Amino acid sequence: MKKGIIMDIKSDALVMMTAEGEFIKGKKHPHQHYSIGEEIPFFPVTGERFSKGRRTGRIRWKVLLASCAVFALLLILLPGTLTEDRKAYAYVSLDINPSLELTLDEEKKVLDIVSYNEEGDEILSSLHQWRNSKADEVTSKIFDLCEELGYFSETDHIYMTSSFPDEKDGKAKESFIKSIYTMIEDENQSRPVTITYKEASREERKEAHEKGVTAGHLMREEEKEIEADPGKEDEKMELKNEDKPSDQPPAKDETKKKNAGQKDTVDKEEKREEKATPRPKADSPEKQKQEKEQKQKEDIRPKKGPQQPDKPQEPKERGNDRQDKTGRQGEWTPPGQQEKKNDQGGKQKDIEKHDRRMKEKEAPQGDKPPGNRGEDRGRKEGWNKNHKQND
Amino acid sequence: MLNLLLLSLVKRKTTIEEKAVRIQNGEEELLSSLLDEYKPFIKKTVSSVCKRYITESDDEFSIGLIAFHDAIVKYNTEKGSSFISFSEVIIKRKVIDYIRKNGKYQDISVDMNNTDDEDLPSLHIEQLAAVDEYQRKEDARLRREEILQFTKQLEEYNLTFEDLIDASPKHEDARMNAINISMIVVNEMEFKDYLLAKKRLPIKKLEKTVSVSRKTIERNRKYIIAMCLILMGDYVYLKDYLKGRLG
Repeated sequence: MKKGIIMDIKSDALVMMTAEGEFIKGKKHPHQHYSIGEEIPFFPVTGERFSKGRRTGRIRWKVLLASCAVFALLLILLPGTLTEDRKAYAYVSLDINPSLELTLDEEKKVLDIVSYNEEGDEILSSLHQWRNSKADEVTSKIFDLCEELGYFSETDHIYMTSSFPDEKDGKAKESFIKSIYTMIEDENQSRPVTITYKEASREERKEAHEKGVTAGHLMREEEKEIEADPGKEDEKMELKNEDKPSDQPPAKDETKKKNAGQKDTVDKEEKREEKATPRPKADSPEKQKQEKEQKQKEDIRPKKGPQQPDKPQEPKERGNDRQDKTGRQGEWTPPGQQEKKNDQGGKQKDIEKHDRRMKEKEAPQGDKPPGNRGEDRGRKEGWNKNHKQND
Repeated sequence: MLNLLLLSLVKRKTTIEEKAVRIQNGEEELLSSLLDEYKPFIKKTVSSVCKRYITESDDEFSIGLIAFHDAIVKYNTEKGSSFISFSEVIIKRKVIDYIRKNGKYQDISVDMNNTDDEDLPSLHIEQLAAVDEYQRKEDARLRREEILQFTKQLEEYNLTFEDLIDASPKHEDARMNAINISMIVVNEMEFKDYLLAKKRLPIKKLEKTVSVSRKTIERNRKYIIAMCLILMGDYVYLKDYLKGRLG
C-alpha cells in the first residue's frame, strides 16, 4: 500500500501522485467517495497501462459481438414466429348459398378468406377486419350478413367441410373439428338451419379448387348425382373403361403419322425426282432457244443502226433468213454435213460483216445511191452462192 | 489641490502586488501601513481556521500578522498568482501549525496538573481532531484547485495524466535524475524560455548540459515537462507535497 494525493478520478481507477513524485494508477473502490486533491492510502495497480486505442478496440469488439448476438437471435426467432403465425393449420369451407373458404391457424385465427361465387363476394366485401381475428367472431359476422342479405330464407342448410394441409394427429384434428363445429352450431342456435359436416382430403380439395368450387360443394354435387342416378356410377366406370381404349388410338395415330411421314418423305423424293428429271430435258432446249434468240438479237442490233434508210426492204430479207433457218432445222442431215454447214455459215457471217464494214465506209462518201447498194448486195450474195456450189 | 488629487490617483492605481514589490525593494514605511490596512482580512482568514471570533488580542491573530509579513517578503510576481490568495495560504498554514503545537502543549499541561475535570481532555482531543480534519479538508480543497489548474496546463502541452503514468520512471534513481533535469531546465533561462515558447524540451542543448543520454531524456520527456510545470507554476501545495524531492 502507498500514500498519495488524487490527481484525477477515472471510471475504473485513480491517478495518484506520491510524495516521491511518482504518478501511479490506484485501485478504485466502487462504493467509496473520492475527491481530487485528497490524500489517501491506496493500492497501486501495476501491469496495466492506459491505452485508449485498446480500450476503444475492446469496446468496439464487445459492441460488435453484442450486436451480432442480437441479430442472430432475431434471425432465429422472428422467422419462426412469422412462419408459426402465418402457417395454415386447417381449411374450413362454408357453403350456404355464398361459398367461402376460411384458412385457420392452430389458434383458430383467420388467416385468409376465399370466395367461390358472387354471393360469397358480396359477403366478403361487407366483411371488415377479419384477418388475424378469431374464427368464432368472423363466422358470426358471416352468418349475420347472410341473414341480413336473406340467404337463410333461400336455404336452411349449412355445409361445413374441413381439410388439413398436413398430416395431423387424429385426436388433435378431431378436437379442432369439434371445436369449430360446436362454434358454428352455437352461433346458429336461434336460426332454423341444419349443419352438415364432412371432411375432405387434400386431393379432393385440390380437385375442387381446379373446378373453382369449394370441397364441400364438389362433394355435395357428387352426392346429388349419385342420388339422382345410381347407375351413373356404373356409367362413370364405363366412361373410365372407355377412356382406356383411348390409349390405343394414340398408338394408331402415331403409326398413321409415321406412315404419313414416310409417305410424305416418299412423295417428296418422288417430287424431287420429278422435278429433277424433266428439268434438264425441258430446260435445255428452251435455254438453247433463248440463247439463239439472244444471239439473233445481238446480231440484229448492230444492223439496225446504219441501215435505217433501208427499212422497207430489210424486213423482207430478215423474214427470208428466218424461214431458211427454220427450214434447215426441220430437215434431217447427217452429222458430217451438219458440221460442214456450220463451217460454211460461219464463213458467210464473216464475209457479211466485212461487206457491211466496206459499205459503211463507202456510205459517208455518197458516191452511190441507195438503190445501187441493194444491187451490189444481191450480186455479192449470188457470188457467194455460186462460189459455194462450185466448192 | 491638484497635487493632492494626483497623489490620490497614484495611490488608488497602486495594487497590493506592486506595494509588496516596493516593500521588498526597501520601502519599510509602506509595510506598517499595509499591515494596518489588511488587518480585517487577516482576522477573517484566522477566524475561518479557528471557527470562532478573533480579536487583535488573540495569539492566533498575532500569528496571522507574522504570516502576512512573511507573505509580503516571499511574494513573487513572476509566478502570476494574486497576493491575496498567496497570503491566505500562508496565514492558514501558520495558524494551523500554531494550533497543533499549542494543542500538544495543552495535553502535557493537563497531564502534569492532574485536574479533576474529566471533560477537559476529551474537549481538547475533540478540538484537535476537528482542527486536523479541517486542515486536511482545507489542504485537499486548495490542492484540488491547483490540480485543476495543473490539468489545464498539461493540456496546453498535449499531455494527460495517463501519459504521465506511462512515462513516470518506476525506479527511484531514474526518477531523481528526471527531477534534476527538470530543475536544470527551470533554472536556465534559455531552456525555460524554449520550453514555454515551443512547448517541448530543448533536447539537443540539454544533452550537452546534463550527463544523461539523449535516449533517457526522450524516454522521460513527458515526466520532465510535468515536473518543470510544477516547479515554474504557482503550485504551493503541490510543491510542499513534493518538497522531499524538489528540495
